Amino acid sequence: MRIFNRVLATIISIAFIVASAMGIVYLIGLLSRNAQLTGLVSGIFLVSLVLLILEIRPFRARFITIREDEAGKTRVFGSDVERFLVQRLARGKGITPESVDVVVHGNRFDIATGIEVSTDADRQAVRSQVEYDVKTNLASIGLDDDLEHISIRVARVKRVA
Amino acid sequence: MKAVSLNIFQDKKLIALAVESAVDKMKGVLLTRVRAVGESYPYSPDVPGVWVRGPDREGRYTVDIYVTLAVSGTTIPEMANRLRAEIWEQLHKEGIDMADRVTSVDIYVEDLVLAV
Repeated sequence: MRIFNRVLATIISIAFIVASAMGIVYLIGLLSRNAQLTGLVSGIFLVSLVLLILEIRPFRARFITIREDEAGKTRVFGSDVERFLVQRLARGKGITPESVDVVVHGNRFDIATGIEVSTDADRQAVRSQVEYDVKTNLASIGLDDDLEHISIRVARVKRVA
Repeated sequence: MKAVSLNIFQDKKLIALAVESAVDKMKGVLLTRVRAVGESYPYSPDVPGVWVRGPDREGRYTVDIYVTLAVSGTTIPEMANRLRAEIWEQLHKEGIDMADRVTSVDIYVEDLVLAV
C-alpha cells in the first residue's frame, strides 16, 4: 500500500507539472491569438485527463461477492476481510500487523499479501505458512470456496534493535 | 401476467418492516442504519438499512439489506442462509403473499465482527 501511495503521488505530481506547463502554453496561445496552439493544448489536456482518471481508477469493488444464487447475493466488505486476515497472519512467528499487507480483489477473490520478515527468516517457510494460514482462516468463516488465487510476496527487512 | 399492485409504496413498506422484524430476531445480525460517510447506495425511507427494489412487470420485488454481522462458531454463508430463511418466514407470517413476490434478498455485510 505504501508503494502504491508513492506511485500515485508521483503520477499526480507529474500530472500537475504537465498541466501547469500546458496552462502556460495555452495562455500564450490565447494572448497571441494562435488558435492552433490553443486547440492542440485542449486536445492534449482532454487525453491526459482521461489517462489520469484511468490511472487512478477509484473503482475498486468495495464488496466481494461470496455467494450468488437464485435466493440472492451475499456480499462482504472487502476491507473487513483484509483486516481479519492481517490480524490472523500477524499471529505468525516474527510477523507483526505492521509488517503485513493484504489486498483482496473484488470478483475473483484474489488475495495479495506482502510480508516483511527479518533477514534471518526462511522466506520459503514463511510463504508456505502464510498460504496455509490464509486458507485455514478463510475456511473458518466459510470463504475458502471462493478463493481463486493467493499471491505472496515476502521481503526481508533488517530490523534495528 | 399477474396483476401489479398499484399501492407500491405500501407494498415496499410492508416488505421492509417484515425484513426488519426478521433481522431483529436473528442473533448476531444488526441492520446498518447509518450509511458510511461518502456512501451513495440507497436506503429505504421506511427502514434504514433495507432497500426494496421493484416491482418488475410481474409485480415482483427484490430486497437489498445492509447488515453488521457478528460471526462466531459459524460461517458467513451459513448465517446469510439463516437470515434469508428468517426473512421468508417473516414474510409468510405477515399474511401477505409477499414471499412469492420477493424473488431474492441480497445481503451486504457492511461490517464484519469476528471472534479473534
